[in-house]
This record gives sequence, structure tokens and C-alpha cells, in this order.
Amino acid sequence: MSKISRRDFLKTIGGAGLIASTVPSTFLTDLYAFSTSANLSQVEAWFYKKLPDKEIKCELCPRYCKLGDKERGYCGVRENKNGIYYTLVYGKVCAAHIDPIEKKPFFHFLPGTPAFSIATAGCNVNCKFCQNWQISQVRPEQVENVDLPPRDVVRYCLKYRCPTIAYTYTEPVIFYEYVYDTSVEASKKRIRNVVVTGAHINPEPMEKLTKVVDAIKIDFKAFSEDFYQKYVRGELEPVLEAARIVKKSGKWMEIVYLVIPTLNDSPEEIRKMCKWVIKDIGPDVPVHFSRFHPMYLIKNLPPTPVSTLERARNIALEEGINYVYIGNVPGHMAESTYCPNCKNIVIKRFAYQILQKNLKRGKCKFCGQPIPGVWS
Amino acid sequence: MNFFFPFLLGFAALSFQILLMREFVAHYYGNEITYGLILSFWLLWGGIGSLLANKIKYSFSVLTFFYYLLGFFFPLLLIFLRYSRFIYKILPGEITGILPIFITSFLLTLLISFPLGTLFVLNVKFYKGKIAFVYLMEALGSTAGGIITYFLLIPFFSNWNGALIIIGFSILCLIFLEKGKRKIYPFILIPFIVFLAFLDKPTQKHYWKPFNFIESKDTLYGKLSVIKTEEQLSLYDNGFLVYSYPDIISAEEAIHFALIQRPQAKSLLIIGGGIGGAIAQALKYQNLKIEYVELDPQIIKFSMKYLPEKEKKYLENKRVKIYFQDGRAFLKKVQKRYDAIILNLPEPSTAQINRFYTLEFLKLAREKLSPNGIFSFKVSSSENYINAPLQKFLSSLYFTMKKVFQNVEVVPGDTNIFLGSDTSLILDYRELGERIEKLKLNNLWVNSYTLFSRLREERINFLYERIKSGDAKINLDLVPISYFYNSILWATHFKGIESKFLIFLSQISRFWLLDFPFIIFLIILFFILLKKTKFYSYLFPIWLMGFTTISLELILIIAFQVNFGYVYQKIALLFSAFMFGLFCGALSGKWKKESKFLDLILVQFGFMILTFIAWKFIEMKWPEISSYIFLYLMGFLGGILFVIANELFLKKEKNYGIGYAFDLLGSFLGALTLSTILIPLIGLPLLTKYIFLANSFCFLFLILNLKIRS
Repeated sequence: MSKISRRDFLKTIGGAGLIASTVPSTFLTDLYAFSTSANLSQVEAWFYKKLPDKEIKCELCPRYCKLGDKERGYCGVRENKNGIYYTLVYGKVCAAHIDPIEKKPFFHFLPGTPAFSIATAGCNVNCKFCQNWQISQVRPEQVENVDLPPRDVVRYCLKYRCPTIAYTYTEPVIFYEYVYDTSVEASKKRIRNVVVTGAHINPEPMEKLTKVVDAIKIDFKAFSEDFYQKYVRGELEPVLEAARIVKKSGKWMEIVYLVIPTLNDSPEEIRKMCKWVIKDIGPDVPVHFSRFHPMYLIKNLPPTPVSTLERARNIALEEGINYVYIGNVPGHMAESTYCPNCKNIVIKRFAYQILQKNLKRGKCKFCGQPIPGVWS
Repeated sequence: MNFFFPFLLGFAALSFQILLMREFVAHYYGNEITYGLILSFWLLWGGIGSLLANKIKYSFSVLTFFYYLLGFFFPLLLIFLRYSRFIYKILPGEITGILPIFITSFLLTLLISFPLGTLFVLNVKFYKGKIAFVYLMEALGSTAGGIITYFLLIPFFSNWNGALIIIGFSILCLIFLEKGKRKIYPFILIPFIVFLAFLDKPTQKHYWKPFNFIESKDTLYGKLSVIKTEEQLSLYDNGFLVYSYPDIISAEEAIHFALIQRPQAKSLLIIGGGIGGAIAQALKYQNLKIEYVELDPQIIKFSMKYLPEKEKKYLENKRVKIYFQDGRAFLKKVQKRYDAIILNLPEPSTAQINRFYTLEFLKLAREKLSPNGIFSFKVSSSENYINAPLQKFLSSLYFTMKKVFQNVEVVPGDTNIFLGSDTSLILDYRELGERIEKLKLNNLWVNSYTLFSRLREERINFLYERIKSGDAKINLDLVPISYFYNSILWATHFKGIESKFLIFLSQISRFWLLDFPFIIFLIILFFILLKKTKFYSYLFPIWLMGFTTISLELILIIAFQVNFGYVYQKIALLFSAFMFGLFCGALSGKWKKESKFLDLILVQFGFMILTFIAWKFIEMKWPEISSYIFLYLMGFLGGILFVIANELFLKKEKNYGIGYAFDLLGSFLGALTLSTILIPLIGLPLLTKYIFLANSFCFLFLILNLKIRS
């Protein structure tokens, strides 16, 4: 793996001129695990408390990692150096792609547009079914990073005519400062910012984040603390609190519930979640029930039966949620948006494409019912 | 009937070994590392057991007690194996790391192989030091155990019940051998075994929880299990998902990326994985005739039993023909050419499956393609980031394809579909989307609605940049490197040191893997030569014999499968030929009245010749029968060498376990290093050369020894 080839890669997404202004990262010559010189940032982290004896306490996520000098948090991307807490991944991007926004999935946010999607290494939870485990379950020095300061992200976005930046693939919470600064920078150019997160975050940073981003998609891994402990190594309650904060902020939010057969698919659990949605964040928050496809450690588990997803959708509709989708089942009728009033199709989708849009200034073309979302 | 004790030992030992290995890989991730670990621990504990057995005070009741202990431990071990996933908190179908495999195989083999090793020495004591006789009878027992297990138990019984039959038979023999000495053990064991016979299915049900276990069958090739979650039917082979139905995404990906390149194709060959949706997709192409080769007929039987009618009808379609055979053997024999060949097998995680991803196989596939034909296979990948181990794995497959086909394209995504052809290939989503529309395929996944994103230029460039810049070797039949890369990839799923260790191995030069250990070997030989004590001159050839025989066995099985395909009965016969050779060798060694050092030199000379033949012929085509003869001869020489060397040694020192331990420790080293590391990294030709060199130096060492002596 040479520096040039990585540079060429970036050329394809950004052009040589832009890259020339950035310092190429330290690229691994052979295999990542034996890399000695890593391309890490040293930007002081936010949300931490200094303690005696050069110790610190991280207050970004509910783990509250208490760290001595030279120790890193659970996420592997924040390090205490001499009593000062640094983020090591500020502007250190390991994955950058252009995806349809429907792939995130956001169904009520600029449908049919591309999102410039970026991630750094690391995550603050450990899901057995992670789709991006190769970058989420590693330390930043174990992957190849490219320097992409906020300004450059915005430039790429403009070049590729992406109206949105999506912070995605891994867990944006752990590259919080970078998300924040990039969002501020992007807003200046009228580029929207969306965060795809598990929302394992503390209230204060979440509140602050909602001030600069435009939409947040929250992954509910299940609706039980037991599942979060066993399969995610996290907690559910902080996620719920984060969702309440987003709701309060008025920013657009969508919920995804990845239904894994027999592990989190009981009708009781789904109903409990739906009741919570209605009560705490309202019936207009779209809920996507996604089909599990074998991934990472549970690569040999069967995919979710479609009937399980349909049952979940029916429960959600029964409970009064207005926009309920089924994900990862291409061609399913529940990929489309239906008007809760006249039941006509407002947005007809097939996989990642919009086939029909019956929406006029945010309202159903047939009956005038306002359809919540960010449409332009 | 006095000969029966060692016979029973060999009989039980080999049957248990075969059945344990089969059960183990049905419960844990079965790649070459798993196979290597369990086999090597088996041999290690056997060696340690026989080393320590000298300390056990012999009595007849101690001897029989150990036999009963085996009968008690083996079923316990099977139960433990089935429930061990709960200890590690892993789900059925979850990929297991090296640590659980290491711990479980270490403990299980301790329970069973340690007493087996001890029993060998106890038997020698029982027969008052007649080690040759014990070895002979043990070899005969192993031969019988192997033949009965391979040809009678595995084809007709589950592993679980097969084990119980062996134990039941052993207990009956013991009752008979004890000649009426009443013991309580049989009265405990027999009801225990009868009780266990009913537990095979219930314990499997527990194993699969929280999934709904329907049925399973141990076939010649592995454990097939049917799981149903609502309407979703899943078929597992040794814990790997063969297919889950319905899964339109996998089915469409397997077929359409290849066929849409050649929409006019008239003939298609699907190797593996045709069932569960793939054939239904292929039938969408109107003029296509489909031939489907599947190794295990039980996969079709289960599918016909449990799949919905609609899906069964596809298999019965006039345009579909099914063959039950090894895909590679089929392709070699078939006389026709196909417009498309789709390989839909699991990834190359073992040497056995790796045969379908090698340069030689691809060349064979190309030969059987029409001039405009297309070949394709798929492997799981990562859509957004390709780490270095995945890069190496994909690169090795890509470069191997590139050596055979003029054009090679790879479809990006969480699954990478490799396409190879001598004529043009297209990845333009507009063009492909148009073709799909025009043919009215009504695809749900492989269509313009997803392709515009999946085949975006940046995505393709990103993947190609990674694959083309990867520093990987070509995957060859005799240097099967891709399964090693696949092992690294597996190891990176876990945060332990295993991936670092494997990466380290893949990076170090041949000197450290081969020359350095060989130099150490020579230094040891040299020091033994200098030493006045002679007994290592007897033990060292035994150690080398253990190493050589297991190494050449593993090498030959791989080479055999490459040439003649994977045919269960033939592989079983190969092992049996070796065991029978051991017996005959031991028999002829025993016939000699007194063994002399010169005899040992002669046998070692035989090993030198045999390993020379292996080295010189490994890269050539040889007739099938010669494989059986070779293994028989190797067993034969091994048997004689063991008997002669042990008799010589025992004249100097009365320690019955040491010779056996050296044999097993040599085998342990071979089992641990060969298929896991050395075969993929070094390759068969060079390995056989070094094995020949090691045997030649051992021969020289013995001659020098003789000179010093005289």
C-alpha cells in the first residue's frame, strides 16, 4: 500500500488540488497491526473533568471513563496525556463515501439526495452485529487515516454536490469535536449535517450537538437493558434520554430498530418501544424496522423473517406511530411513505431510489395533510 | 483373547479421535487452525499421558479402570462440547475466536487422550514389556476402529450415537475380558450410555436455543441442521449457514451479477449453493439450462422436505439437472463447455474448500467455458473500509483470477462478486440496469434501484485501489495461501493476539519458517551425536517418524483432493491404508528375533527413499492407486521403525512410555504446524523437500552413530 495509491483514491473523491493542501497520513506499508507510526490528532477533547494526579474523567458518554495518564477511554480514540484529554481522531477520516441519504436511512430528510458520508475509527459500544466492525472495533492507529479538516469536508461536499454531510459508519459520538466543528463550517455554506448514531451519549453533549446539526438518526439496538448489556455492552436509558433531547431541540429525528430474530423481536418488546415513542418523542418520528443480515460475529445467524418485521410494523401502526418503515427488504411496500390521513403514497421508494413524490411544500398532494420532515 | 486389551485401545482411540474431530468442528468455527489445534492437542496429551504413565503403579484393576474411565469421559466430553458455548456466552452461529477453541480442545483432549496415552504404557506393563506386541495390536485395533467408524458408523449413525456404540462395545469386551471379576463400573456405565442415546436430539435443541431446532443429520461431510424461525428456514452445515430461505439478496447476488453479463447464455453450471433461491433466479433466464453440482445429497433431501412447494418446483424444472459429486472432480470429468460457471461455495477457510479458488481450478474452469463464457464467485467483504488482512485476501483472489482470465471485475459491497472472462465485462450501472429491465427479470435487489449506488464510480475505484495495491501471493493448489489469509481475516474479528501472531507469521521470511527450524533440528542431531548416552539415537528417529508420517499424511490428503476430488470413501480408505500399513510394519518388525541398530538404519533409509519419492512426485500427476500404496508403505515403515527403535531403547532403559511419547510428540508438532502455517505459507513442494532432507540427515546421523559405536 503506497502513499500514492491512497492519494489517488482521494483524488477520485476530491481532486488533486485539494489533497495537495493536506498532509498525507502515515500509510501502513503492509499490515495494520504492525504499524508503528500512526496518524493521530492531538486536539483537546470536550466534556471531561480534570482530577488530581493527572487523572481525568470523561463525561462525553455514559461510560464515564476514569483514566490515568497515558490511558485511553473505552472508545480507544481519546487519550489522557499528562492530565489533558485529547481526541486522537479529529479530522482523521478512515472512510469517506457518497451514499444515497435513504441508505442511512433518512426517509424524511431531503429524499433522493446524496450524502457525503464520513467516519473515523472507534466506537463506544461493542455490538456483535456491527456492519462496520473493521473500523468501529479498532483503534485509530490500526486503520489508514486521511487528513480531512472540516474545511476540506465542506469543499468535497460542494464539489460532489452533496447537500448533506452524514457522520456515520462508526459512532459519531466518539469523534464529537470533529462533527461539531465540521457542522459549524458546513452550515456556513448551507450544507446540512446529519448524524447516524447509537446515541450512547450524555445529555449535555447531546444538547450541544443538536444546536449545530440538522437531523439525527438514532439506532435502537433493542428495547431492553438486558440486550444492551449482553450484545451491545452499553445501556438503553441514556439512548432514550438522548432521543428526548433531540425531540426537545426540534431537530429532525428518525429511529431505526434492527430486528434480530429471537434476540430482540418479541412483540412485547416492540410494543413497549412503540409506546415509549408515542409518549416521549411523538407519533411523527419515523420508525424503521430493519431486517438483520448476518454480520460480524453473528455472521451465521439467519436473517430476520419478513413476517416478524411486518408484525413489528403493525404493532407500531396500532400504537399510533404515523410513519413506520421496513428496511433491508427491497421492494417491500413499507419502503414507501404513506399519508396518515388519506393513506395514499406520498413518496414511493424502491430500495434507495425515489420513484414518485406526491408532496407539495411538505404536504400530501392528495389531501393536504402536512408530512413532517426536512424536504428542501 | 489376551491380545484384546491393546486392540481395544487402538480401536477406541481412533474411533474417538475421528468422532471428536467431527463433533468439534460442528460446534466451533472449523478452519484449518481448529483442525490443527484439536489434532495436535490430542497427540500432545497422548504423549504426555504415556510419559507420565511410568509413575503409575500397574495392576490389572488399574488397567481396566482406565478403560472404564474412557467410557465415562467420552460421553461427558460430548455433552460438554455441546454446552460449552454457554460458558463462553456465544450464540449458535456466532463466529468463535481462537481462545474458546484453544481452551475447549485443550481440555477435551486432556480428558480423553491423556488416559489413552497412559493405557498404552499400562498395556505394555500388562504384557510384561512386550512393546512390539502391544503396538502391533494397537495398530490392528486402530485399523479396525478406523474402518468401522468410517464405513459403518458415520454413514449410518450420528456422531453421538456412533460414540455410544463404540463405548458400549468396549464395555462388553471388558466384561468378557475380566472373566467374571465382578465390577461395579459396567452396571453404572451401561444405563448411563443407554440414557445418553436418547439425549442427542434434546441436547441439540438446547444448543440451538433461542432458535427453533427442527432436525439434524450427521452426514459423511458434516453435521447438517435445520432451523426455522417463523417462515425463515435455515440450513446449517457444521454451524455455517448453507442458506436461509427466503433471502432474496443472497440469491440474486449469487446469480445475476454473472448472468447479466451474458444474458444470452444457454448453459450454466452452479457449483454448490444452488438451492435456497439461486436456481430460481437462474431460471429467470429463458433459454438457460442449468446443471447444479452438490457434494452432500442430504442438503437436497432436507431442502425437499422443508422448503415450500414453490421452491421445490424449481429443482424439478426440466431445465435443471442435479449431480451429487465433488465440484472439482465433476468439472474435470465433464466433456462439455458452459456459457457460465458460478461457484457458490463457502469461502476458502480450509484446504478442502480452497481447492476451488486456486489458479489450477480457475484454469480448469476456463477450459470448460465457451469462448464468451463467464466465471464467478462471491466472498464476504466490507463495503466501507477494507482493512489490510481483507485486502490481502481479496488481492490474492484477484491476482489469481487475473492470471487466468483476460478480464476480471469485482463488484463492490458487503459481498464482493468476482467475475472473470476472456471477453468484455461491464460494471456500468446504467447499462446493467437497462439489461435487467429489458429482460424483465423483476429483480428486487440486483436492479437499477440499488446498482446506481453500489456501482458508483467512487465505490468501484475505492475497491480496486485496495485490491490492486495489495501485496498478496497467487493461490495455488500446492501453495494454498488464500486459506491462510482467510484465517487472518477470521482472527481480526477478535481483539486478542491471534491476528497479530498470524500476521507476524505471514510477514516473516522463509528462513524463519523453514530454514531456521531445520538448522535447530541439525544442531540437535549434532549434540545427540556428541553425547555419550545412546538412547536418544533410538528415540530421535521415532520422533522424526511421528512428524514425517503425520506431515506426509496431511500433505497427501491435500494433493489427493486436488487431483481426484473430495470423495469421502476414498479419503477414509487413505487413512485406513496408513493404519493397516502400521499394523503390517509392526508385525514384520516383531517377527525379527532380535532388532539391531543396522535394522533401524535400513528402515530410516526406507523413509529417506519414501520422502524422496514424495518430494519428486508431489508436483506430478500420479495414478490414484499410488496414493494408497504410498500411505500403506509409509505406515509399514513407521510400524517397523517404532518396534525396532523401541526394542533397542528398552534394552538400555525400562521406560515403556518414552518411545510412544516421542512418536506422539513428533506427530503433535506436525499436526500443529503443517496445515495451519507451513502448508499455506511454504507450500507442499518445498515442505516435502525439507521433510526429505530431515530424513536424510537422520539417516546420516544413524550411520555416523554406528561408526562412533564401532
